[in-house]
Amino acid sequence: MLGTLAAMWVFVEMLNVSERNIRRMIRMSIVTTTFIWLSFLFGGYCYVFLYPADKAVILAGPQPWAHSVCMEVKEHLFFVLLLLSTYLPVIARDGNMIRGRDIRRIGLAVAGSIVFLGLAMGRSGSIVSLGVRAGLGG
Amino acid sequence: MKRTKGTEVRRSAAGFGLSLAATVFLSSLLVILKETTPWINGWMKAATGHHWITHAAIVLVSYALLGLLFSKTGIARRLSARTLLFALAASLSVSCAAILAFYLLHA
Repeated sequence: MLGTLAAMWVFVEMLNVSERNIRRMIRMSIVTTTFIWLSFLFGGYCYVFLYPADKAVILAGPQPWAHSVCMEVKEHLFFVLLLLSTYLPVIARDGNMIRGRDIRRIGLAVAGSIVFLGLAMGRSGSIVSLGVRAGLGG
Repeated sequence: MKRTKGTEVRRSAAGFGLSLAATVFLSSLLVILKETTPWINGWMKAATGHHWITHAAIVLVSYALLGLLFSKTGIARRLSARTLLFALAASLSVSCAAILAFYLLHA
């Protein structure tokens, strides 16, 4: 969620990018990458080592699609989010960012996609939690 | 300051941008392949102990290698910002839609 918020910050900075705010925008793009990578490492550990028990509960419960659709889509779309966040500082540091309209559009598309996918990941996580709760009967 | 259209992209930004488009597409292809081909899934599980870890390794290594390759060769230099934007938009939308559709149909 912190990565998504940081990407939103980058998006807004990028809309009005100038000599005055470009350094702040680049710093926030690095913050975005850091938070998304931390969530990849921490979330990956939880997914590989802790989630199998929850998965069994979800699949045996009344909402198996919480795993077979939401979790499967989430775990695989996360790679897209990871790559986008790794690329964000690269495009943010492009020397033509201030004057090049199309380069700014690429940056906005990348930052905007991170925000969209980040929110979708959060929502999918909530549905997976509801699936576990339903599987436990409550 | 005047903003211009169709400005050239820095070589590394173009190279890694193109790599991003290619790797995202490759990742969605790998999702469908591993879910429909048992031996690929089995190999991915055996390689690292979990298919997701192997998938992550393939995606990250591909992104880095293709990014370096595209940045060092002339491919990135010939790429305009508009072409890169189109490649990224097409790759992202097709790949995300393919993964979503695949799991919705196979749930």
